[in-house]
Amino acid sequence: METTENKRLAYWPNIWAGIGLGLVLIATFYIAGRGLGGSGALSRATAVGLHAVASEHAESLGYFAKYFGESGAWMNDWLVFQVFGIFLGGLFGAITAGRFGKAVDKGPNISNGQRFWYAFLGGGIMGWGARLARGCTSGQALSGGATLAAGSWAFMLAMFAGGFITAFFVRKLWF
Amino acid sequence: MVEIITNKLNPQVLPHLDVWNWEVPVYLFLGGLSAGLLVLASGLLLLQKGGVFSHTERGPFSYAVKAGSLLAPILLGTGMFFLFLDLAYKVHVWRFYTAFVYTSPMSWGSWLLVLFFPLSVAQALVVNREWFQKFTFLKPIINLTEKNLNLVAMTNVHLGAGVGVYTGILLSTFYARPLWSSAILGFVFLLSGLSAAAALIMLLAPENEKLMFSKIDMYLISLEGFATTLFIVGGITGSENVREAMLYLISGNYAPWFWVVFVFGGMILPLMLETLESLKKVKYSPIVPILVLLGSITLRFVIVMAGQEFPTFA
Repeated sequence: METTENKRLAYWPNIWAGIGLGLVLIATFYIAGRGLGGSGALSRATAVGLHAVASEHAESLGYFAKYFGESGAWMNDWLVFQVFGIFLGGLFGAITAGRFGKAVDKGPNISNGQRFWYAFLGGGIMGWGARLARGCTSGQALSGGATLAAGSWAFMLAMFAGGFITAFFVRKLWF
Repeated sequence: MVEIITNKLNPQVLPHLDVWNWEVPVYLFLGGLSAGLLVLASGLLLLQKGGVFSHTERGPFSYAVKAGSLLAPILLGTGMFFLFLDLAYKVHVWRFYTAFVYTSPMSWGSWLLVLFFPLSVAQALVVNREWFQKFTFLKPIINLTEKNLNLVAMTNVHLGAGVGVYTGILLSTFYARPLWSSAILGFVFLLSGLSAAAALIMLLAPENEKLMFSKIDMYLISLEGFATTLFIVGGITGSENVREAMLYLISGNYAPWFWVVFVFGGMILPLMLETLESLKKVKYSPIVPILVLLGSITLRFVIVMAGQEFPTFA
């Protein structure tokens, strides 16, 4: 009987995956009227969650107040659908490629616990930065970059520069 | 006037009607799941060796028949416990059984459940007799049921279908909640319950029985998808309040749950993966039945919650 290991398919070639992502981006502008984004849905969910437990406080915050429109359908936003869709699409890809399973991707010298804590810390900093920049890798670099917005290109260059510098200090986590 | 008030169309009682919390959707899910399990287990029992289409000796029961028959009354009992938790006057529960009101769906449901329990338990005892025959007091029941097993299984197919439809009718007779007042809601819930039951058996069954349930679920999801489409189309093309209620479900706060978790995650994605599994292109993954079950419970939650938030008199 064949094992799962030798039934795994190779990853998609980078160039085709990139072209596919670009076509998805064009389709989102056409269908949803705006591009892709990752951090917007989390920010919106945080606002609506906060509103559920402390409505007056949530509405008094200038940053979150913009999410509370008159329609009341605050979660009915394209980015919320997209984030759920990313999870389901990833699941479909993993299952059809025979790669679905439990694993922690990490360097050989750190424990699983450390890996999770560093991921949490990095994710937190990244989320905060994304909100300051009014978009993350997908919202600014991909969607903004595709419209040739100068700010988005500045964001992209700064992101790569920041990434290379940070990688120097945290490389021991991976090697 | 009595009728108007009992049907909750009196605007003065409306503020008190937004009262169904998690207990009711969980009951509707478990009720539909157990109804689906009984229909599938009894249906398969009739198709197996010694069933209605064969004149040979009864062969060993498959895992699905055993587990489905046993889980049906257990899950329904659990669901009814949650329903009991929801009752405001818990000590009055016996009053359901002091009358049969043929115009009341709750009365039909209560009496259907009275038949569901003994007949599903009797079937479960026979098909799992290697566990239960050591209890001597159960032997007369096992022997009596075994003699009439095909008749019991046939009755159980109908009872399961009845309870499955009933979980939707319970909502659809509330016509002061326009989202629920759709004749097809009972069928959406029945098909969703059958699909969830096939998924649960797929999750629990040994490897050699999984593929069959992947195929069964594939067809059931397809039917559920068409029934759901009719539910949506019926709502959008309905009267103004029904249309508004349906638009609230499909484009309001519950829209991400409805479209992404139920429609895409609970139907389209499992359908695609089950089709690939049936074509032997993809290996079975337990995440597929889990997605179906998640979609099924999400359907009950969004329908119950969105329906309550959109009354006729807003």
